[in-house]
Amino acid sequence: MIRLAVVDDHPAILDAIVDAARSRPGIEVVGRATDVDAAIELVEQARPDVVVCDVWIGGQPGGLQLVKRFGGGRGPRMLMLSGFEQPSFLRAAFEAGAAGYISKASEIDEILAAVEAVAVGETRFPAVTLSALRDAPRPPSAREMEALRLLARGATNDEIAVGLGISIKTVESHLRRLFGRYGVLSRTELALLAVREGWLSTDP
Amino acid sequence: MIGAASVLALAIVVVVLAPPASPDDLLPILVSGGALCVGILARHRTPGLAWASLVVASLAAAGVPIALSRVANPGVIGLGEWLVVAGRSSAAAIVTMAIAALYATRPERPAARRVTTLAMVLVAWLSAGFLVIVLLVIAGTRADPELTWVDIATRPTALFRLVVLLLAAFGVAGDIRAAAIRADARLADAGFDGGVDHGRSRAQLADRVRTTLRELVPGEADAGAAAVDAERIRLAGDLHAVVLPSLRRAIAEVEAGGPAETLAQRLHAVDLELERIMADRWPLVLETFGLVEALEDLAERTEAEAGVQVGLEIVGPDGDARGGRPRPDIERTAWRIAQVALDNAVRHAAAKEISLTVFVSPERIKLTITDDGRGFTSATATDAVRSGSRGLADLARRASAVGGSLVIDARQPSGTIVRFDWPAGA
Repeated sequence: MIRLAVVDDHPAILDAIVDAARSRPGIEVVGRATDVDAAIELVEQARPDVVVCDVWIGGQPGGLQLVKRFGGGRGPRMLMLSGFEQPSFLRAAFEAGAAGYISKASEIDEILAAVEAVAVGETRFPAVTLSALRDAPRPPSAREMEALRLLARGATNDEIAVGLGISIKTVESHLRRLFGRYGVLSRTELALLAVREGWLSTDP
Repeated sequence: MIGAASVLALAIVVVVLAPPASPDDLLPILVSGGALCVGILARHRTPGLAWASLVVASLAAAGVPIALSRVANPGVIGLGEWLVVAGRSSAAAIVTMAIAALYATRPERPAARRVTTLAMVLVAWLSAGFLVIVLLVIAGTRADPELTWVDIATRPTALFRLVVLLLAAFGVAGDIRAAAIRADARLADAGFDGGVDHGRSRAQLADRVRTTLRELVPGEADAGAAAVDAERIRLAGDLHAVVLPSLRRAIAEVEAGGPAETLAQRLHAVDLELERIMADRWPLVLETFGLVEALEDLAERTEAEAGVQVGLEIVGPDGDARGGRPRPDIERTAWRIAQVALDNAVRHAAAKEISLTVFVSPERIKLTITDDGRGFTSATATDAVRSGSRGLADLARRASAVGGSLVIDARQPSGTIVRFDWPAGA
């Protein structure tokens, strides 16, 4: 039995998820909350296995606060729900240790399937929900290509910065933009993507 | 009320100085004339300055007949002539005091009632004093043989200057206090904690002082309100022009029995349009993650939508951002400047490549946006302003409102460079 808690400040969405989860075999709803404080209390007392949580609660990124507090460790698996398409939110959730991040526009069945997946240790970061892939993503710029080439050779950010004569912060910024644009979450994924897309084929 | 004061001051200057004055009076005439012009011109935009100028104008003008009355001896020039001289100087002094009293007791003042009472007592006392002098002279009596008419005349006129300055000081103090209250409210709105640690650091104190000075010019605050109104109207316009037609088309198609796929397509288009309209106005990434990530987001969206290259370079010391972020209103101003500069470069200058350079720390933001578009000439800039595009003017005002500076330059051979610089506590 998966013990599930749902956190969303929007009653209609909260009800819809809770109702669907109750009629799903294998999932037990142990609580619901509509604000950050109530959610913290709920998680600490009811000890759910999975928390489905809105990123934006009460006019602020309360969901990110919760995932920073509970994500990644031995606490519940945090599955983030989001109405935002900006990659920054996805990346922040991922880095804070969320187990998944799915669009609020997803079917309820999809959300529950994601609950079952993260409960057994999988992650769900379907990049296709992000705006990055809404338009066909454009290839990297010349400058970004140089950074990618060094990255694919295993260079650290410091080495890329020295190699290109730019600041480390600019390197980080380049990488964040590339992550967001191509819907990837790690340097490895980015390097693999660059090879797969043939961006590095001119590399001697 | 300031209109009435302007008329009074004008009356003093004209009536008192109209008869050909001696060349010795040139300086007070120039001073009062100049101050009067400043007062009348500034009366809408900067009432505080206007009031002070009117007080100065009438004080300078009243000085001429008062000086004249001191040396006028009724025994020499005759009683009739002396009465004219004394009457003019008394009238000028009393009206000057009335103007200063009006300034001190402007109705929005706290404690205005007590000051009004004080002012009325002083005006009455000095009026009575002038009257007594005139009566004494007419009666030809001297209560104290040692006391000459010159002494009697000099005492109230010496006091008169003091009273006018005192009343004007009340007015100035009231203006500054009201501005400080408005400034605190504004800083609190901007997420600046002015309530608890009242100017604990020097930067905070400087922010308070600067905002207070700005509030002394109510026109500035009005311009801000006008910009908010304009923004509301733009938002409504965007919804009307972009979102409503798509929705109505979708409704019409469904009512005509159109297929679900078309409806989905239409609604998807509405979704994208709404998202774009919101992203322009509600900088979520900025609020949550700060200026650098917000600029990345802006750069990515501009590249995707406009097919231009937008490079972003972050300068400054490396290390984590634990030093904190600049005040939210400063971040929003910088972001807005970048947004408008990118928009201008893409839409008006047909730029192909844009580069942003940014330095961010809690005490300083330096933002430079350079494009390779066709730039501008002063003629096209003037046209743009005339045709209602107030983008750049609004930006410059926003920049100075937070104590920053905005410089827009044409590059050689073409292109535009926009520089925003904000030092904390400038």
